[in-house]
Amino acid sequence: MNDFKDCYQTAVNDMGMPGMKELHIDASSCMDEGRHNRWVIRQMRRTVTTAFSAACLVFLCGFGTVKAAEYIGNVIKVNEWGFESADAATMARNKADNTGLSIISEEVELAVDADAESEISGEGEVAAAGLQKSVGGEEGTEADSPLEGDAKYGGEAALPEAHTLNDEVEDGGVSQKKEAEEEMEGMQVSNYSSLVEFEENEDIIFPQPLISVGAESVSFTVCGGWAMARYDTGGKVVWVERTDYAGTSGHASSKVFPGGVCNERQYTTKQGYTYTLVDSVKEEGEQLQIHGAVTVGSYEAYIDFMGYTEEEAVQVIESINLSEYEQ
Amino acid sequence: MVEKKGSETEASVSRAVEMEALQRKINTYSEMLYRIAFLQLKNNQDAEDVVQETFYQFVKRKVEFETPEHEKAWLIKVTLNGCRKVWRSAWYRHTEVVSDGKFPEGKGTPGDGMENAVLEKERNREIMEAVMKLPRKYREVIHLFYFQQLSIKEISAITERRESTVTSQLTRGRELLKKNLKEEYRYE
Repeated sequence: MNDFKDCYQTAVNDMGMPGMKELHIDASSCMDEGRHNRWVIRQMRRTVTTAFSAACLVFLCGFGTVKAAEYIGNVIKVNEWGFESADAATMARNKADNTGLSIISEEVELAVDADAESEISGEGEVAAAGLQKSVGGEEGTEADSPLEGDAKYGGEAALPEAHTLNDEVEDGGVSQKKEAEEEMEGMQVSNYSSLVEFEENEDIIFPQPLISVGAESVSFTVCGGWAMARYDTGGKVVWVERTDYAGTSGHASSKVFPGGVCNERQYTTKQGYTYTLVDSVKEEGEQLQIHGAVTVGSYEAYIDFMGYTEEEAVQVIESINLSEYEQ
Repeated sequence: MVEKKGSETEASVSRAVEMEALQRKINTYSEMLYRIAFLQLKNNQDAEDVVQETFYQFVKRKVEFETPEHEKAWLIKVTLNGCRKVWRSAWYRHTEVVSDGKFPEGKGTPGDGMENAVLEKERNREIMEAVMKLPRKYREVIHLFYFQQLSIKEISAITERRESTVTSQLTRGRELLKKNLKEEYRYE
């Protein structure tokens, strides 16, 4: 067995280092201050390059985190018919391809029992109901509202499955519709006629306005991640609804009001949450209807006022503690 | 006037002597230092710069050495530190030295039969490839131990690592070499 030391020494002396050239340096070049300074500058330049690259990397990572947060966050927009909401990615994609939502949207009748229907509908002119798939809606549902059929909710997967789904819907629309109906029917809808009853039976985050205490009539409807409350006080009605999109891979929905909406504006609460407010376009003599939408964390919340003035509506909005959605 | 000319002459003589002494040191150590630097950096230009910088520091600092071993150890240490300055930069680490993959032909051993010469050349090539493939820290220790024949204590002093660290790096380097080399060797 050969000795490694001898063999290595022979190898180095015989062959040199692979790629190594012969060295020719003289004393004068070693003592040259200019050469030394160039060396120092080169090292500094490399250090600066390294530091700059690191800074860029940190910046990009930070930017990426912000973009990721935006991706998760919900976006609510106003169009001429009402509100359009989606997670940021789906919203961006839908903007690029407007046909997406219409292709996958389809009518699915809700399995709301008769009691619930009568409780919710009342004299509801406001399009404020309709169920939406709490899982983020892999296929669109255009709900025949228990109120007037005004509310339409379209859900769409935000991730690449959406394309597959679209194809499936186009190819086999009937079977897809049937599946969607079955799925919606499978979701349990619960109705409560008081705040106490609601709180006793449901363990969901649903911050209430102050009027929930003094209202003549209060009713709740809960279905999966979606919940809605209705408060009747002296002929005036407020609907508050919220949908939790936590745990969903993406969603898109819309809320449409008959006659369309106008007068889009923003209102920022004292807590710092900004509502997008619109008015329903109504004929003369009809009561003013104000609609508000806000997104907090994984939640989307809507509030609809019938018979309330702007000031009264703002008071109700201010009384809702939206920070509960962030807990 | 005569005094001034005399002092100028003395200065130039002194400088010439200094240059001559430095050139002697360069002739003695430059190849060794260049090998060490190249082994670390795998780049001719950087290795040459590091060696030149080492001699620049040698002249500037005017360190008094007790023994030639001390001097050699100091030069190796400064060279290794110079290498570290270079490879510490991420820029360097992302710059791959383009190697044509060709090894020098080698000197061969006069009088050897053709077959033996070819076999020895092949073995040398294999050893050099295996060493060059080692991770930097193992490569450094293996070279200092087997080529420069420094003791673990000396390597520890030069690299500013604990003796136990040097020992474990040497052991791991040997294990990797055993794995990568076809032929079995005796390592001590």
